[in-house]
Amino acid sequence: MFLTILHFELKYWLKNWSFYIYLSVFFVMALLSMAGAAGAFGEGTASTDHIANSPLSIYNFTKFFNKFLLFLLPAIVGSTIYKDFKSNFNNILFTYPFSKTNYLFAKFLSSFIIVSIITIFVELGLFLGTKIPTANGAQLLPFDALPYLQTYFIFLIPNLLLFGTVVFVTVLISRNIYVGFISVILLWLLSEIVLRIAGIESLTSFLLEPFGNNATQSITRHWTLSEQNTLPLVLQPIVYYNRLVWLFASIIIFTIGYRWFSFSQNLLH
Amino acid sequence: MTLRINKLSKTYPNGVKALDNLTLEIQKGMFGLLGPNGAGKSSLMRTLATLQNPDEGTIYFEDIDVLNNPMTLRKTLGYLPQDFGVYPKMSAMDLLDYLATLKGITSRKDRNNLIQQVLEITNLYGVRKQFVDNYSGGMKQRFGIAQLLLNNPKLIIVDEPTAGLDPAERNRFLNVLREIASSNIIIFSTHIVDDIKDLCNDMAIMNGGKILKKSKPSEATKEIENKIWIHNCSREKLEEMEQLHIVLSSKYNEDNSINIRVYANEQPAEYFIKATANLEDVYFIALKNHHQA
Repeated sequence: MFLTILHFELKYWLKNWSFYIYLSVFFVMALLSMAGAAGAFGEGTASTDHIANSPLSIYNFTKFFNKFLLFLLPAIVGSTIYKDFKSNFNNILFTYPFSKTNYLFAKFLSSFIIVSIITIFVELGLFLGTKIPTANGAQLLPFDALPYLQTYFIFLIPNLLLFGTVVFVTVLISRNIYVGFISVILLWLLSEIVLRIAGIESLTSFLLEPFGNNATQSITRHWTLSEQNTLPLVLQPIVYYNRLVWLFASIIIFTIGYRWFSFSQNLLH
Repeated sequence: MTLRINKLSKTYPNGVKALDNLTLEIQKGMFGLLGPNGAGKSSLMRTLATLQNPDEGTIYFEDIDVLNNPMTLRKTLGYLPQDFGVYPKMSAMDLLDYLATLKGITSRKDRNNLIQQVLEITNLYGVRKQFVDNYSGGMKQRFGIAQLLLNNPKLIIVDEPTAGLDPAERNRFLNVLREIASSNIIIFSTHIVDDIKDLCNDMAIMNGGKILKKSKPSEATKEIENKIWIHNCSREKLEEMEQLHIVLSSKYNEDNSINIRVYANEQPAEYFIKATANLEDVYFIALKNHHQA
């Protein structure tokens, strides 16, 4: 049953034009951003002393796109669960012989796979942006896969998992897609508040800022320009602790939604 | 084959008592559950369909303890909710294929055969490639029957399926139900007396979360034979009549006079004429008794 639902939901998205629009928009934005930084559109568009594809630069690009990717979550993760309630199909589906575990995990995983695929196209766009023929070779380092992999697996995916879980659970409980949007904004605000209260150089903010950026930038902030252009992304243990804290938070949030949800719920009339 | 409902109670958080110590036993065949809107029919149906839990009571279908093993029941359950929709922009074929897989039919060949079969039973084969969300009310209800048949259910629950159907669609729908009623229990809820009369071999009248009367439709009318009286009176007299007699129903004539039907053991007055008892009388007597109690 898990695979049946997973397969159905994946097919649903792969046949849906909005998936291809999201994917193209992120791909093109990423490609143009990188190409522009590498001087592909002429001298005026970029500061020539910055290396466009240095590990830190790739990190900064993905940090930027991460914020926009968050707004895909209600549209994809939220709507995958919401469409059952919106269409009223749940009145039929919830009397079918599949378990809550299969249902919730398949719904979440299918939508998260879709988000992960779109996210790959951000990295792909950044990479192909360096390959534009008019790019200035002096502003580019030779290709290195590591920063792309690091930003994808250590930052983008865990961050989307956290926010995706929050959206999934709030839509599941509220049966309202807009609450999903609001939850993204609230969590984002929360992270800003943490930074303001704890201060950017405190251990608390290193651990509790949900994107893991503050912990990372505690090092890179002090780099000179030539270090920014050349050094690999140094990830101190605190970055991994931060990721673990929020991975754990994602699991807890999902568990709350899982425990709360039941196919047998009251009809109020 | 028996469905045993024992002392079922349910009070919603807003204080509405939807089920009130309800006990009912249902045998193989077509069972009609008749009651006005808000009688608790849907609450009972949803509880039987494992969509909500009662506060108290037990439900057994054959040897399945329904409330403790909902999954076991779901495997043999077919449910048509009062209010349902489907995913937009999907054809009946595609939806049924997914739903059949969810009901555990893994072989594609079995699925295709089964889908063709249920589409033919429900007269939807000709429109199988159209989107279900574009179907008319009657077609959608028949699609609801098609999906519930996919696992060859032994317990079928259809909740107010004829509400909102035009007469032609209603007839077509009832014919489909008649066709599938053979070796299973079908529970059919409605507030339309004619649905029961045309279809059911056993019935119960429900209101206020309670079963007011359970009987075979033919026996129920036999019980009140010779006790139904009609009289044609003027509109001004209606109130007086209602005080003097148990007026079950009143219908206006073209000349603005009223035909009233009265329930009484003896002829209530000489101007009353004896009438043939019908199921509607049974229904109104049950509701009247309940209101007085």
